[in-house]
Amino acid sequence: MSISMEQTDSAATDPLKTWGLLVALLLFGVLAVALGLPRGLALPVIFAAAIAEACIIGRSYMRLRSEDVLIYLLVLFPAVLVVALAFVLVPDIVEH
Amino acid sequence: MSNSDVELVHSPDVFEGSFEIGKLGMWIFLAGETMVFGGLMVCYTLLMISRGGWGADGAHVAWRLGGLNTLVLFTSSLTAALAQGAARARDAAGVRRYLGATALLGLFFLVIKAFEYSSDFGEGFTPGTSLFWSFYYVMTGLHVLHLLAGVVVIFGLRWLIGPHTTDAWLERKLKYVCLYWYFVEMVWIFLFALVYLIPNVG
Repeated sequence: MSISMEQTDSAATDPLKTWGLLVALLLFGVLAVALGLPRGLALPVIFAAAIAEACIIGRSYMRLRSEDVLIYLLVLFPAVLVVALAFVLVPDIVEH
Repeated sequence: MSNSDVELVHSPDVFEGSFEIGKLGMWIFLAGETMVFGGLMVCYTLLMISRGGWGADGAHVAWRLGGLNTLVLFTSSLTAALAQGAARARDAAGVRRYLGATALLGLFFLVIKAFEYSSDFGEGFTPGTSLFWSFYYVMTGLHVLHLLAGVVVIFGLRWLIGPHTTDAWLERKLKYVCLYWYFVEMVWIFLFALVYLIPNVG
């Protein structure tokens, strides 16, 4: 992608709004523990909040939404390897 | 396309017209870091599942301090983004101000973490106490080292800003440093969820 396109993209992101969203999501996760929610409800809330926070940072701050395909591949490759690691470790760790 | 864009595209750091070598290098580095932290988190999670949770060990983690540190990191990313905005606006003084704030917030994170470590050690929770505490110190310790490196680099970049630095140079270097900083923040988000919050659930 061209650099001018990246600059336009980043200018459209309001850092204060992004910060507000991140703090709101942080509160969701923390409240799940502070309020003593049952495990079945708290775990999805904590995971969803963490994944949403990571997506917001990747999209707004790291500008992944307007990156080149090569960068996407660089991000995806280790993620796939980590997931593969989880699958190959399951028989040794969880099933023993 | 503005004059600064033309300057950036024809810089020696830019490969074949539009792709920046520095940015590519930073992303390759972050890909490697993803596997380091991802591998640790996968092992930690699988062991947690296989043992049905961490029991009393996990309940001793200071999740309130962890939450405060998350807020500090979120705020440091805000100031890093504001520094990038100031660089785009050709405001070198603003960049210095926001970079200084980012580095100081990073130091504040480290002070809170040091307080947390000393409190844990004081209560007898050392890396040899149990498997949970081994993972806790390895993962958070590795993150602390990355954050410390980020603080040093940010202070270094701030120190380098002067009358001789060009706007395009500053914007480019700032982009690489901020990419690293945002990545360190992203790692912390998952560490906070896995090591601080989940062991304290119900």
